[in-house]
Amino acid sequence: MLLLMDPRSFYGLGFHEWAGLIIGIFFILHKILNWGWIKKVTITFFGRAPGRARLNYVIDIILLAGMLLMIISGIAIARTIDFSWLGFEGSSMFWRVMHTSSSFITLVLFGIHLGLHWKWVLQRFNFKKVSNG
Amino acid sequence: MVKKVFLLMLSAAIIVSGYLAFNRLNYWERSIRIVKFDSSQPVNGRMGRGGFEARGEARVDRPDFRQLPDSIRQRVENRERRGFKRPEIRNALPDSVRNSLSEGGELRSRNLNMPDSLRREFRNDNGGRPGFEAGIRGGSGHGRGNINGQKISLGNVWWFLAVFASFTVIVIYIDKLICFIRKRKRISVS
Repeated sequence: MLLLMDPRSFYGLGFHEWAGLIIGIFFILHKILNWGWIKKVTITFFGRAPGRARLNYVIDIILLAGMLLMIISGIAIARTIDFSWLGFEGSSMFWRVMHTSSSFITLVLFGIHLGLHWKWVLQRFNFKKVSNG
Repeated sequence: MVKKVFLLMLSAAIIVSGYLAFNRLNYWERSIRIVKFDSSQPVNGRMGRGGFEARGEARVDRPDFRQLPDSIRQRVENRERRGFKRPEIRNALPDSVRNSLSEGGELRSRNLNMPDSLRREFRNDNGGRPGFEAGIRGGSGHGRGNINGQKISLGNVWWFLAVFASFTVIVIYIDKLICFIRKRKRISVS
């Protein structure tokens, strides 16, 4: 889905902006709905947590920042949807570069995130038996 | 054994294609561009291979045409129209262009330079031109919006997918390696 967000690839800028807006809303909603879990994990991070959990947390925080920057910069440079009422400051070139850079970095981070959770993915889809003991 | 060899070869292929895609998309440079961004410098030339951000547009600080007051927007449009109404200019034009202007096609001929919000106001169709679906105003259409009449072009998607998959595979194998090293340490300690 994310890869189809390139406006050159799939039905152009209109689709890109509307789909991005919808995904952004769902992303923020997902964070709000899981806020309790996020708070618990944050407290654990600053307390006693295994190294792997800390690594996952750091990657997730950077991923969150990347997604938020993508959403904000995307809103700032939107053409088919009118967000002028939000009154974003800064040049459109800055926001455009921000949108590109954040999307590129976020894509890589998603790959790393998936790699770190690969065992979970395999177990979830029953491709790998869980070893007991 | 066969399955393991197959998975190894697949992983190697993904990593190699990811490396090629990384170079092709100029991934590193475009990722860190925001760090090197300097808004005080004028924008000249290409912003990078394949980038759909503005290329050579010297309108870094110009306000969006949509945001200008109506009076100024109308003044800009009238100034453009007035140019074409001047007899010495109209007479210098080829017959085909002059005829299209006299048939009320002034706006159609200027669609390429017209902001899309105004274009939508004045016309319902694209006059045979590719729709302004994506990318930069006046873009030549290569990699932007409709490509040869097609709305879906997955060329770039495969390259991005290759980068994404290669990072996933690399992390999976690094993870496996770390687990293997830890297991060996535990065995040697015990």
